[in-house]
Amino acid sequence: MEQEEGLPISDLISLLWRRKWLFLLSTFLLLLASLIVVFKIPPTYRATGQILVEQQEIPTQWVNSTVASYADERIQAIGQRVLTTSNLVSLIEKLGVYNQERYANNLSLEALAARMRQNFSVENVRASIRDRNTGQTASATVAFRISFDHPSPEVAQDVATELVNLYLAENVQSRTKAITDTRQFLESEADRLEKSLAQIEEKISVFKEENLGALPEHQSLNITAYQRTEQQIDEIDRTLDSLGERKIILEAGIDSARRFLESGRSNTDTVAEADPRQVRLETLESELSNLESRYSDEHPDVIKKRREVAALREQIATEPEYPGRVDTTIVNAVSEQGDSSLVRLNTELASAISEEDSLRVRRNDLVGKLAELDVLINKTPEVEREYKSLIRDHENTQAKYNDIRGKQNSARVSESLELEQKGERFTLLEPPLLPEIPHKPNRKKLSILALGASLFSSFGLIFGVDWMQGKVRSVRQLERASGVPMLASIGNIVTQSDVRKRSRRRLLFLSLILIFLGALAFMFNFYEIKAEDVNPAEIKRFFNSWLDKINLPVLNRG
Amino acid sequence: MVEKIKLALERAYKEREGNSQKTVSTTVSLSEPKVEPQSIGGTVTGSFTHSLTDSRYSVVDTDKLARNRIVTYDDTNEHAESFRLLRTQLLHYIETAGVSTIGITSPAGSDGKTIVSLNLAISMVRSSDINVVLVDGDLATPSVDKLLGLDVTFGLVDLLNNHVGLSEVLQRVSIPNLWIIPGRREAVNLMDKRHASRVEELVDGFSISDRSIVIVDLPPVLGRDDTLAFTTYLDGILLVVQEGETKTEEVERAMNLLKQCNVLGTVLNKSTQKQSTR
Repeated sequence: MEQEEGLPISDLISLLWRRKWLFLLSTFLLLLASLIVVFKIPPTYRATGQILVEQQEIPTQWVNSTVASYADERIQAIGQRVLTTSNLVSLIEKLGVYNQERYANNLSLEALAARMRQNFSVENVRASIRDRNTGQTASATVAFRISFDHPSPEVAQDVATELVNLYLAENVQSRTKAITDTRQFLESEADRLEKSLAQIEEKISVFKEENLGALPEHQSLNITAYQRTEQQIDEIDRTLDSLGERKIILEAGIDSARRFLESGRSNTDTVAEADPRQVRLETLESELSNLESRYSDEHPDVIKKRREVAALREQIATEPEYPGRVDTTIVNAVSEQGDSSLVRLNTELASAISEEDSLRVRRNDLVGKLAELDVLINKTPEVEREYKSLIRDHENTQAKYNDIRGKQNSARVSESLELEQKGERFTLLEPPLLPEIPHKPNRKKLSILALGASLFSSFGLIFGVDWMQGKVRSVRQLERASGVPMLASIGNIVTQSDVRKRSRRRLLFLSLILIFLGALAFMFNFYEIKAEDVNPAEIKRFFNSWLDKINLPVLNRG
Repeated sequence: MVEKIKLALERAYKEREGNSQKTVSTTVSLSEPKVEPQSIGGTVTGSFTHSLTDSRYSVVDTDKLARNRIVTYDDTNEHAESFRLLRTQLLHYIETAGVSTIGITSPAGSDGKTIVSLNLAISMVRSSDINVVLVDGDLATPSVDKLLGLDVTFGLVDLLNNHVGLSEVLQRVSIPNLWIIPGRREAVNLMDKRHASRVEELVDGFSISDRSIVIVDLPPVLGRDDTLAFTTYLDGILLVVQEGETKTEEVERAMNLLKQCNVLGTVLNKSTQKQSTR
């Protein structure tokens, strides 16, 4: 007993044998029907144009194109732009692509454009390319094919040619546009940067003006000036000290001289006539102190006056006797001598006072200047920070500006590259030719497919019929259904009359098949009936009429 | 009903006791007729306690048998081997399990029950010294007589109705050890419970001889309720199934109906399968 489930091969073979007529008939009919369909499919022709994607001729190390997208991407983008409905509609109208459908079926132009898109195809030709720089292998599009399918080969060629031209034109246009866009962008960017540079520069100059003296670069100068002023103040202070001491000495001198004179006068009432030279000296000295208060020590007027004073003092010292009054009395002489020294002392004191005054004024000036310098020095760090940020702004903008300028230059080169057609470009490698062999359908392949499908479905049919009947076909089935062993299987007991009947039927059937085949051969040979012209309805009628006459065993069963 | 059966039984026993020397009896012993003008081969052995004096006798025509697909009288026939295989298995049952009455039926009609029954019966008598009583149990459409070319005056119906005795119904043909209880065509009657009990009686009577086997050619199981009345009294049932004709579902239904009976096995008729080697 066979234990395995499912259908063993022998069961399948016996099924096939049992249903051979149904199988053959079904296969034949299905094959016929499918072959008719296969040969009825209208042919479609495909016209194909090939466009080469030429790489840039000048090495990219030297000149880079400003068109940045990859060829694949661009082909796609161009496709979108070429296949606009308006483009396609104008093609449909110009070439009359779908005239039949348009007028017979009243299809809208949009529907026709959609159909055109379906019949159109782009195929990229890729090649494996080894990058010279990185050494990696990459696949790159080296060319692409544009195809158009149409029942008419001429129309297919026309449309394909038009589409190829559209692609080429659109590529040039898009590249030119890309370049112009780049250039314009760079120009506007440069302008903007130039303006902002000017603004920053203006700001810097205003700032400099506002913070004159407090700018970082003045810092060291200010410090030096501060130190010098301090020194000057110190000097003045020292001078003032010595002047003070002198004043005290002078005042003491004047005091004692006055006392001496008081005592002398009380002895002699004679009042000594004043020496004219002494008067003259006093005048000069007052003039000198006046000058000194106004000018520095080095001033020529001051020097000159000093010299005069010194000369006169010399004269007075060497010639104590006034030449005009030689014969005066000693008292007179002493009185005269005391008077003159008093005058001298007084003059000196006055000069010291005036000098002190002038020095004090000068010191005040210097102290004021020192305060100013202090303010400036303290302000500098703050100013410096602000100033530096301004400078930084300026530097940054300047760098950007320089960069943009550089790019503008390379864009200009790239533009001339494109305009002179030296960049990557599409070249028509192979214009669409008039197709001679239909692209679709592949009748040979389809026929084989049809045969396979017919055999398969016929097998399915007989299997299904068998299954539907659910009759006992094997020992296995019987034992499974009954649950008891099969004791014996008895073959079909054939009597002589059975044999006679069978052979008669077989003979009849064979002869009918021969007649049918002969008639078929006759039809195909003598009338050269093409398979495409066979009307399926006629075949069916023909078969039905014969089936009625032939007592096919398959039809008798069940 | 029960009363009637009792009466019948009593009468039968009386008949047996009273007329033990008479041939008309429900209890029948089988023996060879003295004269056998056209015996179709085979050796006849065995001893019989009773003799049958009034048995009808027919000579069968071998050509007719061949036309009617009865092939087991010819040992060289290709199908005889299949029947021999079946017979051997059945004899095994007969010897080991005490089976002596075998009903042959099928799920639906025209599966070749009668042909199988006849072939089997002939195959059995030709191989051993057993007596085989072939009963045409299909009361509605009897066909054994037709296949063998018998003249039928009284049939099983008459026996069941107690119209006649067994010796008037029992027929012999020119095949040794084969006894036939044919059906009568005119009496189209279905079996009922009363008949069934009579069958039991008959079967018991046949079983007196330990070297005899009763083969009942039964009507189909499905669509007929009388078959089941018969099968209850039989030791074993054979289900004939025709390949490519009987549905598996019918087999299942038939088996379901026969689940009270001892179904020995099935016989696949008109098979294209190779002979099972069991």
